[in-house]
Amino acid sequence: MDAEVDATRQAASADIELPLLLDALYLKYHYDFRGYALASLRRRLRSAMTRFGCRTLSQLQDRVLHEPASFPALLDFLTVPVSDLFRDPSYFKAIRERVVPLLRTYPSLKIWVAGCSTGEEAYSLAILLREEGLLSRTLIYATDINPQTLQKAEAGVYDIDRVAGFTENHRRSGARSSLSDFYTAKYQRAVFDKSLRRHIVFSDHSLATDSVFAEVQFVSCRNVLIYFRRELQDRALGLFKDSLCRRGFLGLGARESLRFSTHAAAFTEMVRDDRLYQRRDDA
Amino acid sequence: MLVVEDDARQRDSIRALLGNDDVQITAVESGAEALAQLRTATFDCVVMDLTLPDMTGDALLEQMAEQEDVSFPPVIVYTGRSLTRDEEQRLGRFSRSIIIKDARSPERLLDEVTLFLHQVESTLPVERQRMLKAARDRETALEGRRILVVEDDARNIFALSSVLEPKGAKLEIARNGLEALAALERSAGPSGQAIDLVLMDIMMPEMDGLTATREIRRRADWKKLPIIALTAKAMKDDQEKCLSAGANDYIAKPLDVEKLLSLIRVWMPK
Ligand SMILES: C[S@@+](CC[C@H](N)C(=O)[O-])C[C@H]1O[C@@H](n2cnc3c(N)ncnc32)[C@H](O)[C@@H]1O
Repeated sequence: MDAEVDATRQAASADIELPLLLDALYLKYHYDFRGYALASLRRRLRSAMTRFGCRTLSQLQDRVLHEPASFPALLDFLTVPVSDLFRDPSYFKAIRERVVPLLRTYPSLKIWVAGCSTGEEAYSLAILLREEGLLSRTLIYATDINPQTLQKAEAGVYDIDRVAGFTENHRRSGARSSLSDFYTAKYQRAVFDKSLRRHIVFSDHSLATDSVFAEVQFVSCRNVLIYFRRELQDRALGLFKDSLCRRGFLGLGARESLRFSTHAAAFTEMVRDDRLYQRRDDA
Repeated sequence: MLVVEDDARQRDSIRALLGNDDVQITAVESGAEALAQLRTATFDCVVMDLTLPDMTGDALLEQMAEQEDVSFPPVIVYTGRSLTRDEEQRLGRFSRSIIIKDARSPERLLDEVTLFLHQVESTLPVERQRMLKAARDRETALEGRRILVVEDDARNIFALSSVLEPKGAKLEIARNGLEALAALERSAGPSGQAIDLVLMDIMMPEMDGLTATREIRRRADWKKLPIIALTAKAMKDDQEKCLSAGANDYIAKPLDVEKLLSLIRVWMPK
């Protein structure tokens, strides 16, 4: 058979198999990927198929339905657990310069890091707030759907080879101290300070299925909405809007924006390039 | 608008910031003067400092709430010192907003004052609204019952107390699992009053709700204590986690108040 025709047929079958697989994951494990962007789901499932040695999505479905032990590994493919300390330093610099001065006027602070992955974003904010003298009155809720990354986040242990990059990012974020004040390096690992950890609650929470849990002054949700289709993005942004106090702040990832959301009118743009927004009063 | 601030310079700067053709400002230096003003005139908003020459801001707020037949306008606390969580919670019962003085606080003050001045709403203080409502709304199932609310979020604590207290329930607040266990210990002590039911949030600092529920169930005399979990999670297995930790029932956030009341009636020991 002509190879091109064959590939087209395969792709057509995959279009049938994909929603079936997502339904299966939802029914069996209560993880809801049905509203995620299709192109990246397909890409990540292709890598998963290679890893699991499956030729088709149906085989992959058979595998995760009947071998629950394989689900955590699949989850790692589906959730893209990559992060960095002070990822996009200019974002954190903008927080220091534009958001922190207003946060100072609140007697106590709550911050929600949604989609925290292995914890780097939450630790970055904790370090920044410690440097600005605000951490002692702050509680950071850091949430994610991947229990394995949450566990790593709680431990706050990172490979020592990453620390040079962390340090560079931290500096470019307008650091007021040395990053080494915040970790201890031993063997091949750097362990972040328990005094930061004390101000962070790591918790399982899904933007796709769960609801608002606290009133906060600042929501930072970076590089998560890019994996969602429009309706799911709107659901998540609705949660952020409901969670934020009036005039609270929202920060998104470098490739994300509020522009096409149904909630766009509820926010004003504060720092366009760094995707910082402020909730309006009448929202 | 009434400004209560003992420092003359600060008084002037607040006046300069907030005063205009539409906003009349009366500025006083002490708590006693503030109370006197509130008896003679009606204000749309009060901005007050916490350190006053004759009384603490806390005491002033309480006396304002107690004055019969005197309106209690929305209060903004405007203070130069930082507050503990307890102080913040206590002040939060009477004041709409607390602003810590800093470089950017004037704009927040202006913003919040503007908001209150343009709001048309009942001028009764929350506490008094609650007391009035209480007279009508008492219900034998809840009258005098003690409910331990284990919850960290001011908005939810407020929502819970404004439905439960008017019905005659007595609320005790704990902000995390550890505080909940301590509160239960106290209630079991010689001078303690027994707690009849626990509303347990799941996502909390220090000790989460699932752990706290398990800890409570480890104690023989708390095996039967009704616990209702409050959870932001919606999936069946999340709710099963609450039950297997030992909760009697659960309710999903955001809280549906009527549904919560029914649940409390179901689980409250007779
Ligand atoms: C690429 S990482 C971003 C990590 C971090 N925010 C950053 O910018 O460095 C995306 C994270 O979003 C999480 N995520 C995916 N779907 C989610 C959902 N429905 N609710 C909460 N988190 C989700 C994934 O588990 C993953 O850890």
